[in-house]
Amino acid sequence: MAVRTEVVMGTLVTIEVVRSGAGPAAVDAAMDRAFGWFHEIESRCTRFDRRSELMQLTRQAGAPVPASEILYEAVQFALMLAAESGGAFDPTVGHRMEARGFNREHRTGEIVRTAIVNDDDVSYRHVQLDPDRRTITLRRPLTLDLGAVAKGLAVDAAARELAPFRDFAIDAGGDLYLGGSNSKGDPWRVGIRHPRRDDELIDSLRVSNRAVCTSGDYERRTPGSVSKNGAEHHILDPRTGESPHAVASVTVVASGAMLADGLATAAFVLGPEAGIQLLNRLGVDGLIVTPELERYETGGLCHGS
Amino acid sequence: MAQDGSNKKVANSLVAVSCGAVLAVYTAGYVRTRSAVEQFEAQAAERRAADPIPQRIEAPGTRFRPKAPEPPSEWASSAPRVDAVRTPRGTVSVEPAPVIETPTAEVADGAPEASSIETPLPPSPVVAAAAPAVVEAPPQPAQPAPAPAWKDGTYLGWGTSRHGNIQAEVVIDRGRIASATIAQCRTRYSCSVIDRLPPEVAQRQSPDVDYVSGATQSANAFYFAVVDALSKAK
Repeated sequence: MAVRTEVVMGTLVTIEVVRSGAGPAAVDAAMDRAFGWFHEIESRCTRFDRRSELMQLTRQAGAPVPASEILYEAVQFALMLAAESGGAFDPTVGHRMEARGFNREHRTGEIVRTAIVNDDDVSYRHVQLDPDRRTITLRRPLTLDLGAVAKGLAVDAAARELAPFRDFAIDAGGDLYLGGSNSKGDPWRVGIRHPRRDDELIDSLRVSNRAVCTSGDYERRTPGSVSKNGAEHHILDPRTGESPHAVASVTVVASGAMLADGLATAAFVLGPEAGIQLLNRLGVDGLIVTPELERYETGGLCHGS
Repeated sequence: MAQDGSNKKVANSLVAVSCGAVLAVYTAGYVRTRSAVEQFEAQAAERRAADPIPQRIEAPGTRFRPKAPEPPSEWASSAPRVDAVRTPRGTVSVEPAPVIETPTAEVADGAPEASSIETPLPPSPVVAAAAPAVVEAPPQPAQPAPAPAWKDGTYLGWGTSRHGNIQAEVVIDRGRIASATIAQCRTRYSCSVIDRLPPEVAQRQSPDVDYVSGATQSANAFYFAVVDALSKAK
């Protein structure tokens, strides 16, 4: 058993390798590489550092900009998810997040503002990819927000590093990937946080080799906002610029964390019925809880502890 | 949104793209990690032959045990060399932020309030683009933000959430985080929610689950408390 925690991507990331079958040096080396992915992907995709590849791209609107594998793939996935969800998920909401106060560099507490304020009619359609040249073109001046996608990608890359160990867990601030079995040799038992009662779980699931990600209206509320209903939270409906209120939390169980995290955000915006439809269409499982604690779920969840 | 009828196709390709993306990103960096994986496999095979009995010990109710001390050279020599990112114009090698291993904390049995955790941070200016001369970099290669080098000492910091405040105590030793502990907990709820966060002291809230999906305000408070303490260690 080996466990390590680091502060990265604005959260605490924990990796646990249940049993290695190899020496501690091999586990350490794999953990180094797994955390290396978090640092590397953060450094390329963060909005909070002017020198990041993402922010450099932001300053070159209008021109095709060659992108690293990391940035290109993250943006490509974000755009496809945007198209698939009819714009319920949209990586061009970055500037609106800034306007809401989500602009604090997590390591320094420094406020970061980009000069570019997206026009209200700017959307994912203004981002163009060239798959042959691997370039990204911003057809309008805009700020991309890859936060959740980047974190999911880091979890997935880390999971690949740890795959040789079979039984392991990655916890990136509540975004999970569970490989193989827990220390008892059973499928991992994952609790889903109750969206209204901090100390409680609303459900628990059995998963193996799956990512579990939850989007909730309780996470990272806008600093200063206190009201329980109608409060602003960290998810915006890109189509309206408002915080949606039909959903309290969405949990998605999928093959990877980037997919699960992105779909949780999209389903949150779409609302319970359309959200479940989206998940079903993709063959992905999930649970949606409304503020009234009504539950909507797909058919394939494995409940119980 | 795709037109009706092509939805299924788009949907399937979304899942495929997500898998393909991870593969593409991982493969781009895999050149650097392959030797380590092979090394691991060889080592694993040796171990299986030499020592068929797993060395893990677990007592009921105590998930985490201090692990045997390891010579620092072991992990120092296996520093992360993750990424060699392909771009259309060539290859740029990027060294990710240094990652530290700290000794696992001892379990504080029955004393969840006195939890002790290890929270490594990138210790020194993160580097980048140690690109050899042959290699051509993209126009302005991304540079990870330089992480501050901390001054040795013990620092306290507060983190707040809408449920209350948490004080963290962070110990810096030789410029690195040696430990990060919850010093005080003034939340409306007990700190038990947080206790599962520092995994080395995993007195988990519910013994029935291994992990919890969904961020917690209290967890964020602890996170910000650590960041606050670190700001004083500059």
